[in-house]
Amino acid sequence: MAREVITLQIGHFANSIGTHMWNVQESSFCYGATGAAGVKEIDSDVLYREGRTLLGDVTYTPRLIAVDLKGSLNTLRPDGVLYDVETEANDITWGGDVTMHKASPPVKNQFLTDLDLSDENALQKSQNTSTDTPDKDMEELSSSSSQTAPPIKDKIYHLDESVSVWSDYLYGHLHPKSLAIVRDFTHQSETEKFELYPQGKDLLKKRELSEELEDKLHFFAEECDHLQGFHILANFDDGFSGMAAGIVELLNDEYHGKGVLTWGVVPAVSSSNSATQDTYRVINSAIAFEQLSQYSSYFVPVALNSSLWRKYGPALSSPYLLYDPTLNYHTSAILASCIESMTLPFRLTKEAISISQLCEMLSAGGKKIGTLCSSLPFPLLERQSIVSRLNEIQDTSIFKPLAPDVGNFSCLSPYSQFVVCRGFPNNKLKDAVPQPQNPFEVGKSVDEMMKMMISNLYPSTVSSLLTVSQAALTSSPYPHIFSPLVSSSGLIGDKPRPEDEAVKSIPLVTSLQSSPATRNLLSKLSSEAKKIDLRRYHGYFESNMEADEYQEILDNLDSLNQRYDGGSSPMEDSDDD
Amino acid sequence: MSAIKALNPKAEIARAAQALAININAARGLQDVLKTNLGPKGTIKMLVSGSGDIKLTKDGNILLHEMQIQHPTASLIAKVATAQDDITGDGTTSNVLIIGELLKQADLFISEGLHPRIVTEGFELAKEKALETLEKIKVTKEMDRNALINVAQTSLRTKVHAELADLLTEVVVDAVLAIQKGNENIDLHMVEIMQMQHRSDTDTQLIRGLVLDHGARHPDMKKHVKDAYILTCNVSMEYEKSEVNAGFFYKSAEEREKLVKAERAFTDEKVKKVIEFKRKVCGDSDKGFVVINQKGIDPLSLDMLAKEGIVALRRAKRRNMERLALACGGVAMNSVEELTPDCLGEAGLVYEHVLGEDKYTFVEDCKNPQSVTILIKGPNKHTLAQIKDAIHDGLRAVKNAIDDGAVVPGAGALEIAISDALMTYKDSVKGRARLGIEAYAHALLVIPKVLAQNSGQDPQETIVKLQEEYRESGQPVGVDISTGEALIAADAGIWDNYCVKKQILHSCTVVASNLLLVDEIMRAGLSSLKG
Ligand SMILES: Nc1ncnc2c1ncn2[C@@H]1O[C@H](COP(=O)(O)OP(=O)(O)O)[C@@H](O)[C@H]1O
Ligand SMILES: [Mg+2]
Repeated sequence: MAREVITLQIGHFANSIGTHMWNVQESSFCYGATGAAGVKEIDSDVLYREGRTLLGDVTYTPRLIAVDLKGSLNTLRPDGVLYDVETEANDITWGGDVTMHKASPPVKNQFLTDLDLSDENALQKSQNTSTDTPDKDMEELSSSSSQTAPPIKDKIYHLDESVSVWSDYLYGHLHPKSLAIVRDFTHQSETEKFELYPQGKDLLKKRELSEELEDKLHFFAEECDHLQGFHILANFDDGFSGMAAGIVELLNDEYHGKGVLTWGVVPAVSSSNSATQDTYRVINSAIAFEQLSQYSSYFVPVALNSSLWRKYGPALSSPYLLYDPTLNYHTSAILASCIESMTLPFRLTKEAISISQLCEMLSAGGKKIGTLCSSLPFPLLERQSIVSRLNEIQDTSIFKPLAPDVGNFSCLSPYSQFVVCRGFPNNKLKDAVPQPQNPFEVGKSVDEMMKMMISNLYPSTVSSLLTVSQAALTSSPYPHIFSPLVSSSGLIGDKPRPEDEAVKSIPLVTSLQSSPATRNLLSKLSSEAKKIDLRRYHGYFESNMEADEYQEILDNLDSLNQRYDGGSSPMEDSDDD
Repeated sequence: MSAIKALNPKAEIARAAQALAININAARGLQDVLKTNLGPKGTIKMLVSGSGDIKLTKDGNILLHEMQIQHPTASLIAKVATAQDDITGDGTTSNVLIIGELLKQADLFISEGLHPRIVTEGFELAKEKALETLEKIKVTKEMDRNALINVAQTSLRTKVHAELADLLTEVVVDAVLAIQKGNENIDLHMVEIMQMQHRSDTDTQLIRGLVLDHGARHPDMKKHVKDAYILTCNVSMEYEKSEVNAGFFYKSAEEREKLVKAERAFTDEKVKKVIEFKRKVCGDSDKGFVVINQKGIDPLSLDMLAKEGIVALRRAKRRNMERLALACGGVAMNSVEELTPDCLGEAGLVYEHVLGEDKYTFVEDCKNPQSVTILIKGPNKHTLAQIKDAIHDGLRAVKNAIDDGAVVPGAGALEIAISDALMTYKDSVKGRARLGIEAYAHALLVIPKVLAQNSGQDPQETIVKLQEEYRESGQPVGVDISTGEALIAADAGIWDNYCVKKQILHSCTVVASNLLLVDEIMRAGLSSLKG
């Protein structure tokens, strides 16, 4: 009995991250099929649904609603190809002339070309085998096609130049009802930008889009027997901020009691090129933070930059990462790996907790804004056992915050946190010769050792830990963002990995925290936002956003902020009873 | 900037002239794109995107939406035309054509030295006169079914081929008549449009009731219920609260168990209330009982309901709750505490239809349905979309006609009449503003001209014939698209909406004037930014 989750992706960057997350799911299906005896750790039915086309074929697609602007899809058809029905091409009857206006099809990159090929092969295979094959799911499909050519996930692609939008690296098929394309604005338009909170909010007042979204939500929700909630990725600094806020408010209303976990996301390079646009970003973010945290069960703003708002701080750096912060394809991959790991607690086959439980554990005391941090990859060394490695880690600085303006993060002690540890190779647990003086030696499993480490590193934090053996998958079309010292299985080696090898998976530790760092973030945002006289920006005015409404939102932000008061010693708080 | 201005005072004029030329070009560019669409013989455009997405349309508004317009002037015109559609549901193509033509006609005079401001003064006068003529020509009459059929047919035949148009005509007229409540404002939202992708069938029908795009989720529930009570409600029949209390530290296994039981009992209680109520109202009769719930119903609750012979649908859309009440009577309940028979609706027939993974529930044979559904079947998305767009337009046309209480002769008849009135009027106007009026008079002729052209007739010849015929007969005459001769629009049953025509006159004048006065706008724009 899977407890279903509906995923929503609102905005282009949100979709960029989401695409990587779905790719990871698809490669894990193959992984599950090829080996790993025993029960699966992760229940894919939580995020995926089984369906049936008009031709009777069984499909397995994400339970997903993704919103983006016209012109953002490149080669992807909004209704996909999975549910196509062959019809006579000439079904047009009209008394007058009919003219055809065909845009030249965009060039598909190598990855997409290979995908098409493998789809065709799979189709031929399924037609060759007799028609009575009943339930054929993705796993078999992809493994059967893999006999002819090397599976796509094992090929090495260099897509940095040929990826411009997220569909350029989308591996699987989407359900025809998944995509909602906003026609009123064009992706990366020069003439009319989708850059104001109210633009997005107002779109939902239009019957066309609001009914389309209602239909989609209804479609995915109605079939769920045990819907646990919604997992949302949303841009928070452009026009999508308003749309996301509107949608989350609607969910809170229509699906009251379901968990809503919302990740606010922004690319690592600012798209704005004027002071006015920077101002817009600040206003949008301030309103979105207030609204999204109010209507979600838990809201986590994530970014790779050390600061956002008027000036972007430098993007996250790590000795093991070699990536280009100007490429969404890269930055979204990093965020996707970390966010995807944080969804594991509610996607387990056994002993999963629900989204609302996860959110409640972290949001005690009304601290509804969280901080994500991670160590990507977790630096395990090829030549060293886990037990020795853990013993070397003395402070929390290996966990890097994926949030802006968090102050002296590694010195702060979170109130509570949920840590997910995945992909630590069991065969490297201990050395051949025991080390009696190593305190981790008493641990009998990765889980036990990690528990010890977390409670050592965070003595005054209420921590929960989930240890999962499946590593974070980084096979194609995941970008090549790791330094040469990272081996193909994600361990740190002494010499560079061979040129023709990609990193296929990594051990990863992520933690979602309720942390005093949020106070810093909120103060920064609020003080920037307060400098702005909203009346001078007519775009907000035109759509009936009043100056006092804005003021009220800023006041709410401040009172949210006060919930994080109480110094860096969480012991004073009432959470610890 | 100011230095250049002082040295070369002509620079600004040159800039203005340049800006004007740009505006005129942009407007005419759009006009060229949309020209071939106008009227029942216009061209249908099949737009195929790079990814193979197909859109079939001859609707100006839809084309404007699909085109990625980057030119600011063109995008302004497109906005106005779209606004026209939002307000009245029709007339986008005419709008774009007339704006383009107004600029073209104005340009003839401006290039001879007439100041744009004078032209716009003439436009303003012309508009007033045109509106006056519109009032004279409109025909006020009782909007009975026949009259509405004419209006809907005129509109729909400009969207889809005649055979389909005639089928849709009946459907949209009857749909609007069904939801009309005396003199109350007609709310077209009470007509649900439901699309069904079907492998082989193309059809559209009016369902006097509701079609929901989901079905009962329990294998034992009946697929076919006759003579049924309908209970609509917004009550969660899902057990979920337990996790709210479960938190992080479970006290003990037993305690948790207890908690779960209590919560389950709470949900069961609500379901039992519904069952009790069903027993009470149905007794031993053959009456069916259908629950349509806006909230969730979990498998255990479904089980209980199924055992009782109740058919239950969950997660109904919010917008269908009001419609359900209007279609079958009754009221949507927010609680199951005080259920009484008068909160129930009734339907003669409720049945399920399955297509692939999609289920549909038809709630039909309602006594006096004030909400209805138009069901479209088609083999692919673009056919469905094309029909849906046409139905939208048809519904708007019918509603407009009822709201206006009047209609206007179409096929270019109104434009011929206004143009004629303006040519007479201009002689009574002193000064050069009369040139603006003359430009306006010429510009409106673009409608009958293009109608003629699109049906393969000679535009000039047709216009001359029409003008002569109009002067002689005094009756509004338009283009007979099969012969190119004049026809009496009223006799041919070609009627357009009054409010559409009125809106066109207003918005075309405003936009064309704004584009002509382009340098002043730029200055105005700058100063308002400063302020
Ligand atoms: N049977 C007909 N014969 C001639 N003209 C017609 C006929 N039906 C409609 N028209 C005219 O076609 C024009 C509307 O065409 P249409 O393609 O709908 O453009 P718009 O977007 O401007 O509404 C109106 O001027 C109308 O009078
Ligand atoms: Mg029309």
